[in-house]
Amino acid sequence: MPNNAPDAEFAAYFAARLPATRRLAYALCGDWHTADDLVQTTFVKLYPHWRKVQDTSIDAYVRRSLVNTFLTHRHRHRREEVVAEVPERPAPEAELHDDLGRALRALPAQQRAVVVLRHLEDLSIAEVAELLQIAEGTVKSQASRGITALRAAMSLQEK
Amino acid sequence: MADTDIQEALLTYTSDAPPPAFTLDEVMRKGRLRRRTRRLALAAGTVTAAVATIAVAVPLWARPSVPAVDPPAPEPLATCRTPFAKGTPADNPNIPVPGAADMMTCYLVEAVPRLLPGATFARETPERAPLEAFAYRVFDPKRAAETTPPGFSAGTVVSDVNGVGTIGFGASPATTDPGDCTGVCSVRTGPHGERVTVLDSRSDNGYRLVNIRIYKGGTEIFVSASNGVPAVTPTDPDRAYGPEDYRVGRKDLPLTVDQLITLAAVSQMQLFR
Repeated sequence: MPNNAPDAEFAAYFAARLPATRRLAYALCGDWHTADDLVQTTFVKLYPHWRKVQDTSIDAYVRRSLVNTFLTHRHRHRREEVVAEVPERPAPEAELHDDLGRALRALPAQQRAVVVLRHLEDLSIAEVAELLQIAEGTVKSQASRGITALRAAMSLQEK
Repeated sequence: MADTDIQEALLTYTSDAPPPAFTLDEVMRKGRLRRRTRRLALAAGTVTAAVATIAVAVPLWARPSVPAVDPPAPEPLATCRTPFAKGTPADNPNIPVPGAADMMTCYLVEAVPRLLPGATFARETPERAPLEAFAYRVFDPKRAAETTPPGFSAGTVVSDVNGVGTIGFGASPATTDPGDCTGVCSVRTGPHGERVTVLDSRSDNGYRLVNIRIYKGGTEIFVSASNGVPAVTPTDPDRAYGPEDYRVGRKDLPLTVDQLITLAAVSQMQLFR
């Protein structure tokens, strides 16, 4: 008789973490269609390893897998980016939304990942460094440059 | 815009999610298929464990995590170990041209001082000589997802009669459509027809940072310059540096934006073909 407990645990984890994982993916890539592709790939990769992944590290495992999938996806699909048409008269909320999206997409992929992990996921410098396998000094500098660029972009849009 | 504002803006930006385009059942079905495929592949011996030693990285356009000296003491530039390796570029766009780091170093230690006569150059990170290029991430085909994008970096703190600032360089496979920059950066054409984006930011304290990306063949060349150096170690070491953490060291950048573009848009910086 098959043991269905792992599947039930996986399903519970999926239900609990899906919204946050989709948010992270969307912040990284900037469109929901691609975000769902990234998230689905991440959970599909997680499933075979479910029994091996320790409870305390599942979130970290998922984040790492998602970011790696994003960086690989960026590289493979660099010529296929979707550019939405700019509406002639955007609503104010849409304007802010589009401005931040444009500012994020203007960041190099890894710098964007650093900014999103630091400021959306609220990870520490050490956690981001470990996740991206880069030095902590690099995380600090890339976060600084990313935030400086975002601030500059957002202030330009406000003017 | 404070850090909390950025966090709130990001939360708002990601809050209007449509219903997901996939279901748990799909995920589990594909996951089972993936597990079966992996087991079959392992049984057939077609998958080998990836044992990797990766040159990890301290990228270079990165700022040092400790305050820079003021003014930096003169230091010898990185040595150019010519002749560097030559050969045919690999088919994989993640594999750099042979001798990539040496080629970049050789070019920078010759070209940068020529534009800054009388300047002294100090190391930006303790591990690397001024303008010494190094691979901050090395592509490993067996761990492709974890080792892309690969990249090279080099940097220096520049001191001359006008004060102290920084210059950094990088090269990685071209991954970003310059069109992303619309409305945020200015877009230009480089000296050889390259697409160039320039992000020029200035803070209230006078700190100026310019990030330039040049798309040359399969390479995204990065060059950055600032008119300051880190002022103090942040009291909270877990906090990201912001413009307020830099001390203005000179009135303007060590090199102009045009000079930086001309300097970086060359074949010696085209490390990925």
